[in-house]
Amino acid sequence: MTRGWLRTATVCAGTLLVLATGPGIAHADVVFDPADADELAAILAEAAEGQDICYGWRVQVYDPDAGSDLSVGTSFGAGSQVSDFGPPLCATTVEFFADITYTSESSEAEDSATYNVVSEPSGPTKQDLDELDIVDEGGLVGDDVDVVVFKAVAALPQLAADVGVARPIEATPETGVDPDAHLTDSPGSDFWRQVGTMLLWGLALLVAGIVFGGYVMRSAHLRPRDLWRRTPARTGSGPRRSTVDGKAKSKIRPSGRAKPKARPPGRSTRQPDQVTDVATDQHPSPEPRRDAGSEKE
Amino acid sequence: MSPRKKLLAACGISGIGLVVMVVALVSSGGIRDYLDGHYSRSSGTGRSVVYTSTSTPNVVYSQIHSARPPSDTQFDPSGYFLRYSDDIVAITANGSGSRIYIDDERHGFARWLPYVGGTWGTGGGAGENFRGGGPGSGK
Repeated sequence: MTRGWLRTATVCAGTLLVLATGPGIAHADVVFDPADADELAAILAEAAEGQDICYGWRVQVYDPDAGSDLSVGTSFGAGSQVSDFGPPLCATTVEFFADITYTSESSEAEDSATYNVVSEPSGPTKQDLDELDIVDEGGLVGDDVDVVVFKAVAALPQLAADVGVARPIEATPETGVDPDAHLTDSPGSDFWRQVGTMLLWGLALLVAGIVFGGYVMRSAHLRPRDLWRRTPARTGSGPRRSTVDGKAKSKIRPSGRAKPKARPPGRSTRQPDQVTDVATDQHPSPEPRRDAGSEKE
Repeated sequence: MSPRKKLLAACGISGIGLVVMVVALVSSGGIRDYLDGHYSRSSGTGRSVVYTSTSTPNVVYSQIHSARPPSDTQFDPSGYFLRYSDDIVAITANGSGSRIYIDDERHGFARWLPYVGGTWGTGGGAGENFRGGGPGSGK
């Protein structure tokens, strides 16, 4: 009876130990979904087997609300660290490091991140990774940090081959085309992705110039034909006056009765009725005028 | 500043904008034209063409990525993969140089399914099909 219990306890303890430390087991991870972490470790394991290099990642996350947490993994499995395996098992190592610092909502400081590629004794560097344009600070503090870290770590074996510390691994295309395999989403327009930003900037400058030019012409009361004149343009805001002929001048004379010119008596060329009208207007008098030479008694 | 000078400045701004637009249109082009003009054609049948380069995959990827930005990328220890609106480009090692494959979308996806399947194809953008994780506490 006692031996039976002892054997059962031993089997259970061994099972728990294997479950806790065995490869392919889901680990709590601050960056990856457990399945993604295991997939990345499997990709690294395949590369490490062909290149005899130990690969790994170590991402430290500082969160004021949740505290500090760590995402680690190697070609030996998710949750393990390269530092756990020394020579001769890992004579050459290539590891991706990142520190991500989140700030609280009440803080004015922005989230920040740093990253690096460390190779021992030699291998790819941060500069080699930067040439692929996968990682930047914005990507590490963004919503897709898991995608960014996954791509960066998966690219390490190819980078190691590029710098000459490992044998290159060549992808082999599938020979038979699966009729059911097809992309169902749209990647967007290549043209707009390529030159869309430049076109929009150019259009913005073009419109800004036209609007500014229109504003200048409007505020200075310029007409398009004024642009070609040699004389400086007027900038006043009063009404335009014509100085060409007298008719134009008379149009702007204030309204009202004109002061008649003095004429010598007896030399008028106007008709009698007109003379009477003018005289009546200018010299109103209750008594009729008498002219001895023109009226009958 | 006189109105005439202001108008000259406005014309200058518009002129720069026009030049930028013309340069953008002239410099645009498809990924197939770019590969044809910059790499040695090795073989090809129909819409599937293979090019070679003496540069490493890292260098070739950087050249193509900066000249013709892809919609999405995928990285694997055995190669780099770039997705365009109608084509898929794969860059793999070829000795000390590179081999560059370009296929139309359907054939390329089937051809490189073990590398890009599960990441491209059924979502709305980069990483859509990634299971994802992350602390989720960023600003």
